[in-house]
Amino acid sequence: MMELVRSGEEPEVPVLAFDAISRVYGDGAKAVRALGPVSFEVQHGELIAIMGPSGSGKTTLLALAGALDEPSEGQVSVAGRDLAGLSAKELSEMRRRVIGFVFQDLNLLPGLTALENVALPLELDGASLQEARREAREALERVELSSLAGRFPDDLSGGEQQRVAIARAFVGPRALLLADEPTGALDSVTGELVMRLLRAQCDAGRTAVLVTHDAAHAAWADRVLFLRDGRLIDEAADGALSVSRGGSGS
Amino acid sequence: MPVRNSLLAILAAHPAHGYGLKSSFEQTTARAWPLNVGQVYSTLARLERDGLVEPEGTSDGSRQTWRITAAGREALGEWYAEPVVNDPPSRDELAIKVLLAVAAEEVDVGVILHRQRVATMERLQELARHKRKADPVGELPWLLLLDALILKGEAELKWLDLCEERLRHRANADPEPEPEKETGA
Amino acid sequence: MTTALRALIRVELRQLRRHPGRSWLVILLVAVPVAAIVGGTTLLSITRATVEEQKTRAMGRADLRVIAEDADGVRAARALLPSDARVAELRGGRAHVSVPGRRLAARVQVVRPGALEAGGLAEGLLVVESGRAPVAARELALAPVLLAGLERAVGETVMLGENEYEISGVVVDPEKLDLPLVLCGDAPDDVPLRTHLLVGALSDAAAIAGRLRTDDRRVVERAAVGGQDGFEELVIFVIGGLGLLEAAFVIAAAFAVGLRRRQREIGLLQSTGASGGGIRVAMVTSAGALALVGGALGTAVGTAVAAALHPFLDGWNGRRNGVFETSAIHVASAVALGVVVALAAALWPARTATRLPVRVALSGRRPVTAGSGRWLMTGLVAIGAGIVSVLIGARGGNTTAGTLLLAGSVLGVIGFGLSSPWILDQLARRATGLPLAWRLAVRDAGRFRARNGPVVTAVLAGMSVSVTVAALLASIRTLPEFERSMMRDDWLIVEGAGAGEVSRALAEELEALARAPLAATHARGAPIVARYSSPDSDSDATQQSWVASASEGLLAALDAEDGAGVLAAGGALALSVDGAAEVVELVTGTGRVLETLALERFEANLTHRGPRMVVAPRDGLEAGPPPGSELVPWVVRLEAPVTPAVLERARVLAAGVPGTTVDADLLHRSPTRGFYRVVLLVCFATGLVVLVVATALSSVESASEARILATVGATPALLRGHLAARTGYLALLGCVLAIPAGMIPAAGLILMAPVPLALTVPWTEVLITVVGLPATAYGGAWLLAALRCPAPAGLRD
Repeated sequence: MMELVRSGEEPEVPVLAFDAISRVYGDGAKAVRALGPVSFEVQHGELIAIMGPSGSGKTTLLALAGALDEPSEGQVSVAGRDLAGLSAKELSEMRRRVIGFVFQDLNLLPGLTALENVALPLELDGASLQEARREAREALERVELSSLAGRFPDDLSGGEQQRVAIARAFVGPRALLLADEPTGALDSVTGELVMRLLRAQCDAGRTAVLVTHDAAHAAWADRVLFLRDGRLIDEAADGALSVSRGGSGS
Repeated sequence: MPVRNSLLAILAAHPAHGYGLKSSFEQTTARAWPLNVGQVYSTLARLERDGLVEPEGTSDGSRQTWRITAAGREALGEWYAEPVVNDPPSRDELAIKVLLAVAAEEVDVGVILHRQRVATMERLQELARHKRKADPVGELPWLLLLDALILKGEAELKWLDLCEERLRHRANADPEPEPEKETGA
Repeated sequence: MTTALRALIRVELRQLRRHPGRSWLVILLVAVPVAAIVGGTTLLSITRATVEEQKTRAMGRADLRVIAEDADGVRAARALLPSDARVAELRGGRAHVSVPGRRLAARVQVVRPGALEAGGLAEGLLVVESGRAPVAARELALAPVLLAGLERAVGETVMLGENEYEISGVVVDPEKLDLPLVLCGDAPDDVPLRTHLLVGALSDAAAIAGRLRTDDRRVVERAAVGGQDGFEELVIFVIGGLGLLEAAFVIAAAFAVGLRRRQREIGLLQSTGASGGGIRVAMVTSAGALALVGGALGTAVGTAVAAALHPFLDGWNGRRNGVFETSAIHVASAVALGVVVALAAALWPARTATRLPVRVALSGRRPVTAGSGRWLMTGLVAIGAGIVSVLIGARGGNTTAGTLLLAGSVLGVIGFGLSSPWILDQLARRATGLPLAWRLAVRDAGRFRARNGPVVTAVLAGMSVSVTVAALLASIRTLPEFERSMMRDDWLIVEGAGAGEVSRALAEELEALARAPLAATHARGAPIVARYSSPDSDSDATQQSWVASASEGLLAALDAEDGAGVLAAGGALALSVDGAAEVVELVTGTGRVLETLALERFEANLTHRGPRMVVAPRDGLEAGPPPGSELVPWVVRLEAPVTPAVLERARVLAAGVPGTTVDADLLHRSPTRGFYRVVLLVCFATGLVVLVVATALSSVESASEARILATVGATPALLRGHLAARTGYLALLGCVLAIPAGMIPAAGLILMAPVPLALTVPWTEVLITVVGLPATAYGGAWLLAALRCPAPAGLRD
């Protein structure tokens, strides 16, 4: 069973750990190294931002973190469990109970209302309809969208859709959010609103890793990792000692 | 120039004395640019010489009240109407440092860029922390200023990335080997 | 064509190449029905006699054929003819030809050789294939089946009756290649013959025919013979048309799904200045292009199949079929029909897609259809119109009936199809209690009705034909005639030239209880008919049946030996005649009443081939073949019902004499049902194909949803269940609606039937349609999803 303690004792196990991870596509002469070797840890309650130009491997990194892809080398652990050792069923359980995803767009099922979309993971996990709807309503309140609970995604603006997606990503016992450019399609005001939400969730004990190209949004994070050509080249930490891994201009 | 017109703008609303002008300015600009009283007085003197302000009433000791003239209002109106153009650009220490480093062959530009990136980002994180706590209604000037600083910081980061890219491009085109760089810190 | 249109068409054609699967689907959907139409009409025109062939078969080159009852009648007729008329005599009868050890029954024709040659009046009636026509006194020509049976060749001798003849050549009746025929130049001794007159070179044939016609003389005019009403072609075109209609619904669904995926692209085209009309024309043109390819393919396949079958046709239908030729008109019509159908099918989705406001199209968001109430109203009106059309057609004449029936069934299908969005919507509102995968499927189908409606309609169109056929067959099976067996189960019926010989051998070997010729009573060469009416039956219609000629063996074969006394007294023995008829009239072929007899009932199971009426032979009446046969069959009654082993033995014996066949009730029990099952299976197979294709189209849209479900943590089982539920749901809805849609035309056909039929609901088939097929679709989709083993879709890069 996957349970992540949110408040109270802080466990020493990092929520997300990349250990010498590499991801290579193709083989032989045509091999392309998309990521790695990369190592880092994300602790409980942290908001981490990953910045880098396109092609730097940020999307691959996020996919590996959420078990949507498998590393060629190294080990990815979530709450101490090695993802490689999990079966398809256990992975789907992980996505229901531990990890939440937010993409740049197309996050919601168009045939369900906002409330039903947020309730979906709970239902998938076996909760009753009433129970799931109740918790979903609470989640929507946290993102200040209770009034739009009965709307369909088609009738919501981009910003509202993203907020619903965040509500869904954090519903239930889920404590780790992986977001791929969640503010990419939003204007600056709405984008800031989304960042405020994520910040508030992390302050409340959850953990989030987001990929972004917008420095103003990355600034909301506790730590900002810079990715270039698949390697981590710099890391900026708010209020802590700076760690520069910069090497030659490559 | 901004100091002259700032004083004109404050006097256009109501007459004030020297210290009053200083505190009004600092309040309006969220104390980002503290003013020296002496600077205020010397600016006032120049404005009076140009006929844009005039003293009001008699001076009782050190507290002379000033008010704006019709010419002053006109000058202020022109200042508001005309957009701000930064030409020639004000001295940018970072740009100067990087340009000098690029010209000097024994200096490792890469290290400079990396360190600057981390520092700028951490400054942004600090600014963002301030923004989190700011009241969007009661502290609007403060918020506007924070936004300006953060976005400028973002622009700086983008420029750092671009510098790295162009330097790398030049290095690939240039067959001369580059000196070994230190790693880690 | 303007440059704009050219550019738009180019866009469309590129699209076709990028989606080969969908393009091939449309091509095949048009090709198959076109192949069926082209192949069917080609084979039909080859195997059917042309008008000229029909006239030649009836009377060679003559203008009139006179059929008199006796020699006096013939003489009287001759006297009435103009002096410059050409006359030829055509005499016919029955006799036996034999060689030592083998005796075969044959039909004898006597014609002067001159009449058979080119220019003669009987030219074409019979054809001498090799050797020559008999000229000398003791010469004859034989049919190939007789030559094989007697194991003789041209130049050898055989016995005809008591005399020996030499075989001068091989002769055939071009319309009945298997007929055991003997051609003589002169009348053989001891063979009773009837004479027909062939009359030619008449200036006014109709007037002379009128003069010649009397009570006991029949005259056939050349002008009146033959003619094709084109009915069979119509049937083929109608069936092919129905196939194209089913194809149209699937094509429409395919286009609807495809255009939905291209929504943004269409918005882009419009925002760069393309007109909605231009885009529509381009889309419809691409559909037309595919249909042309399909039509060409179908024509090629249909023609090839017909050409491949051509060499075997003569053997199958026993006549000289014509040269292989295709009708350009039929081909052009079939291809044109296919193109028109494809154009129409693509038009509606094209209209819907281009009518979207440009900014909605560009956003890529799915357009939500407004209220479905309007569709429901239109749908109900269409269903009502369909029912009315069917009812009117059921009372009309032949061609109007067919058109109205077809129109009515199409309207019914369209009507149900139009109602499906409303049904989808209603069901979606009540879906809360369902398990998750089904709830998602029902809710999604309800929300995006415009996309799912065509799929449901395609399924319902495909399955309704099966329902119609099933209802029809179920109703037919309730007829008492259907329940009736072909013959007694302890009978073997032997037919052909060697029937007498083979039946004797069979009777000996199998220790039969009885053996007898199944002969009918003839008067003046034509079978007589027994006419009796039941005064207490509702209708005024009198019933008729042929009359068997009694012989000792026949009564034993019929298990009616006790009736011998009735026959001896001159009465008629009636086997299982219904009603309370007391007397029966014996009527000749021309309608003259010969006798009225008292009826004596005898209980026996009524069978198709067994006689209903038996009378004893009497003066003036002869025994001859029953109606529909050329020669008299022989019946052998065994002690026990015929087993497959016995039947096999009988077949082996029959094979010893070429042209002889054996029939038993055993053969008819399964084949009847087999034929029924085959027809139904073909219909269901078509329906299933339509079902699979249509629901596969719907699964295209579920890919992005599957990705979202995976990232939200759906188990692999749920992911498969999701795809399967979508497929199963649409299939279920289409199949359920197909039941009423199929029963409407069935009701119409049953009302139209010449025999009173009762509308029967085919419960087994309904169950298969409503439960079995959707379950198969569900299972198939499940398997497909499992095989494709979708790893949760990665993040989009």
